[in-house]
Amino acid sequence: MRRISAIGLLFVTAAATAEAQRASATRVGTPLDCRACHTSPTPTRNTPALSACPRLKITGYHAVNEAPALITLGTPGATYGPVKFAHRDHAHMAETGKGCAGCHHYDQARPIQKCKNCHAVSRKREDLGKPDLKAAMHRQCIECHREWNPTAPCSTCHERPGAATASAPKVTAPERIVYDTRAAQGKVVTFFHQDHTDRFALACADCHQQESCGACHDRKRVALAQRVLARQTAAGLTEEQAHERCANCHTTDACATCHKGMPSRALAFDHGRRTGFTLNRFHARLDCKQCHKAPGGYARLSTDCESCHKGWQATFTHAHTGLALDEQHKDVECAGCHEDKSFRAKPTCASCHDDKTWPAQKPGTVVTPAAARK
Amino acid sequence: MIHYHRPQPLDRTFLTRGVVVLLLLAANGLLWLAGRFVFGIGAVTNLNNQYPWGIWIGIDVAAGVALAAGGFTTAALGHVMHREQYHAVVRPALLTALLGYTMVAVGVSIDIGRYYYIWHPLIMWNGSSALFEVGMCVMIYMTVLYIEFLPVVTERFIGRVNLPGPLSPLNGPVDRLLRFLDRTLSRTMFVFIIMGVVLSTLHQSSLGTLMVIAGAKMHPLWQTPILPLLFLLSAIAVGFPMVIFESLIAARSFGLKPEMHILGRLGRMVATLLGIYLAFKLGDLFIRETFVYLTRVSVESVMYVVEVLFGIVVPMRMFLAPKVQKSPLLLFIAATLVVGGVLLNRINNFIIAYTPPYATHPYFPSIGEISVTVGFIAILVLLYRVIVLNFPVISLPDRRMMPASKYSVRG
Amino acid sequence: MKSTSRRSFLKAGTAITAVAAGLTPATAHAGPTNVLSPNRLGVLVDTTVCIGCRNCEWACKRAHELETAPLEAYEDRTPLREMRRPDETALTVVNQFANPKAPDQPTTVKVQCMHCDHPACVSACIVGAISKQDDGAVLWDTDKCIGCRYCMVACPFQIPAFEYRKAIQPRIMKCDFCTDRRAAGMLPACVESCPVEALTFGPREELVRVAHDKVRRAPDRYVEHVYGEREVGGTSWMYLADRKFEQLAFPTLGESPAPGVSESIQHGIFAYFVPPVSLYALLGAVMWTARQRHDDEEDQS
Repeated sequence: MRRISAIGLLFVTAAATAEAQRASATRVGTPLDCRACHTSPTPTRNTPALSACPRLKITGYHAVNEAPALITLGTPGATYGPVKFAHRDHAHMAETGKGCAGCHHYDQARPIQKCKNCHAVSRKREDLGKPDLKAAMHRQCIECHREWNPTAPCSTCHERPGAATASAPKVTAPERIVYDTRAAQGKVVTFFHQDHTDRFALACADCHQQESCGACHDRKRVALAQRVLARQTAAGLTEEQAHERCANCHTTDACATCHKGMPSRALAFDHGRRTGFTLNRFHARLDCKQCHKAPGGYARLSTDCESCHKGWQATFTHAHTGLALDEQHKDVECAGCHEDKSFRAKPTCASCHDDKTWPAQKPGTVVTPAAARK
Repeated sequence: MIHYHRPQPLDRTFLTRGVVVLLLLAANGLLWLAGRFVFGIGAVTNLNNQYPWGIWIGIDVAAGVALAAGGFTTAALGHVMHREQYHAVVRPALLTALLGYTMVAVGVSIDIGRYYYIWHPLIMWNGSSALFEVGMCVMIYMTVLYIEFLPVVTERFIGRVNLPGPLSPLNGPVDRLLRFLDRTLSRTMFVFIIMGVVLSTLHQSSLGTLMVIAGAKMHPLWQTPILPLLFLLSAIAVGFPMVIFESLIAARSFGLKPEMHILGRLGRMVATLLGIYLAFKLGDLFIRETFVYLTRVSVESVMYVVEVLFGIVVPMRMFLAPKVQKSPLLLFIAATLVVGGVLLNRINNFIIAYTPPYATHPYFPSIGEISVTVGFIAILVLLYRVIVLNFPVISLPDRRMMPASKYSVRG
Repeated sequence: MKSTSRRSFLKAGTAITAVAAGLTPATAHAGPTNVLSPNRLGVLVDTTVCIGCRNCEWACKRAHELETAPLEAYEDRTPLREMRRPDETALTVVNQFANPKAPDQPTTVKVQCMHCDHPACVSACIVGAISKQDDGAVLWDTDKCIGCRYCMVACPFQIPAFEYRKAIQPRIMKCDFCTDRRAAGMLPACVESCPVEALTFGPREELVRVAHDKVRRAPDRYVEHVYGEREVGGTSWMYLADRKFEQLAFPTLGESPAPGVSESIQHGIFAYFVPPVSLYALLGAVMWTARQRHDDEEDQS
């Protein structure tokens, strides 16, 4: 018995290692349940009793249009009839949401697994870890339907004689959306939704991904983006996350393009964080236009010094950096020590010296920049 | 000078103006009580699922038991410790206890939903239940009290049995039965007296255990594991003040001279007993650090302070003063404060401290509940009057200079 | 005369002691046994799954032959606006709490008897009318109950209700874990009626495992606390939630069984009747010496 469990442990360890190598860091350290992979509680080397793992057996995807149009779910009960489920419509909608996997979780394989392959038909069952069939199906539908209709009466889905079948609230694409952002300056951002969809022939799913059903099927008929924004604000999105959707296209635009009333040179603009190029004390003194000279925007510039400072190397006084070069190094090419063009990385000594490293040894004497200027 | 006292029926008229008022209160209580039996407890009381117990338990039962403690404390003093000088107060105290416990029994019976099942605890036992213990002890103790009171009845009727008309041939046998009872009782009475004291200590303390199980539902100022000890100590402390209280009222009502030489001495003992009670109460307050609740003004903190200050501290100081021990009025005030303090303590423990988690509004007794409780107390006073007028309970100075009572351990 | 009385004093005293000693073994077994079966059952309530449809309320009333409106009437969610408690007309109720994460989808919590492993009501009941069953249920016996309502005082969850409006045979009303239905091979009515299986019925030990699994797999969805796993020594009904339980009106309770302190006091006072019998003997001795001294004084005078 002990041996069997030892072997079992071996399998689990092996599986866990393989999984860990494949998966992201969040999965590391999550204890594995043997039953996640093994159908038997006592697997052996010869009969490992491995269960079909749909997550690892993705054989192919199919187009939404190949999906069945209408499926009848459940059996007629005493009070409620079966559910006529408009599968294709839902599949189309799922493109802006969680995709097929939103419902067919763990199951991207062909043929699609039946729910009852995993979810027991009877509520009296051995494995209480996952809901039974009735609960699984109800949860699947209710989780979305409650978003736009918290009461979600049974007759929404179930045929019931005499009861009107409720329909999902209409999707209202807004003409424009006014975002009241949290920005210190230029709080108001107006987004012309219809102009964008018309001019660029955008489908919903081109922008809207991982959206909840209620975001579009808004029972209160409030502009959907305002709800999205409200959620984003509530969720405490970072600045990057809030800009993400627009920044996909507006890669090089100035803030003032969207943020109305924002001065062209905003003090709040953190050049380093937004562009990856931190302005040093000399650059910070400059006006934006002194570097970003091209008309109509603040296009991304090259960070090579040469791109602005043409021919600077010939006249550069190294002492301004706080280090006066000694005689031996005075005439060495800049790139001889500074191997990258942006002069950001540490200088290297190794190209000439085997036994010298920076900053332990320096090619000159340390001076204060002010003294050097005199 | 030695006073020899002998208990004897009082020769007074029953009906006075006060008695009429009491009769009206009693009738009013019985009327409401009838409502409870016809329409159910909910129709008459303000009790609900959040507050299952009200003043019928808090006052009629809990305070009733505590205030009937005079019975066992005087029995312990007069009989167990054999201090004959206190015998004059033993019988009135016994009668008070007897009536008090009868009210407790009746009070419990009307409060429980199925009064006709009141006998169930006799055969259906649950040893872990504090209520079971209280119930059993009260039942047995009540029987003991009735036995202790029997000599009063035999004394009244021996040689005076006079049954009407056709029953007159039974006069002889009944008289012989009474004499037999009297003889047997006088030999075995000490068994019942000790039993009474033991049973009293048990259920007086268990009455405190009752609320321990309510746990966090009870305000921390009162909820403590030593609740049974506090209940016992307060019952012991309230015993003599209750005797003083009742004796002074009786003296006033019947126009007798207050037995100050006994009551004053009892009062001196009360100071010590109150001191012990206070020490435990304050010790508990500081050990459990519940005094923090007193820094906030709330119903609970005010009630606690009133209870301790006016129910314990002030009367304790008063009982220590020689002036108080000699003055009927001051003694009466001090005794009333202790009685009121213990009454308030029981109300606090069972009603004020009980703060159930989901109650939407606090409990306050209904007119029906108050009427029934007041009615019971009125009936109690009336019964007391009827009995002392017809049975030898209250001692009067005896001109015949009788030696010490014939029944040395009689109640 | 005096000497006779003294001899009978001793005789009777001995007899009393013997009677009390004789009672001891009988009373030692009088209390409820409270031995917990490892196979006892329970229900795990996942409040993050509950949709507040109140089908459980309807099913419970039907199963216990209580007056109820038709099921369709339960689609009306207005009763959820006020906080309710189980009472004599409804053994279980669903309460609603604002959900900051999704204002349109309030959190709903079903309330009923927790069926404690160490029930305060069982310990408190004067006649032992309430008992803990092998299968985990805490049941009330109408044939014993005297209607004293001490169980209601004792219950830390404030569950038992009383039929205050009945003059004859008022009942203590509380969830009975559908003992009759289960005996007939059915699930508890509420569990069966739940459309989303927010109520999972099964062996308690398995449910504890499942509960911790759920929390581990979805740490964003739940707080790491299975309410009822340890509260008052463990309860048969347990809860999962997405926030601290006191925000869902659950009482904050320790891990020690509710009747613990009271029972230890009770058993301390009555430890095999030793303390009362000792007190009896002590008082007897005091009385005897006091009397003797008194008699001596009398002889001298």
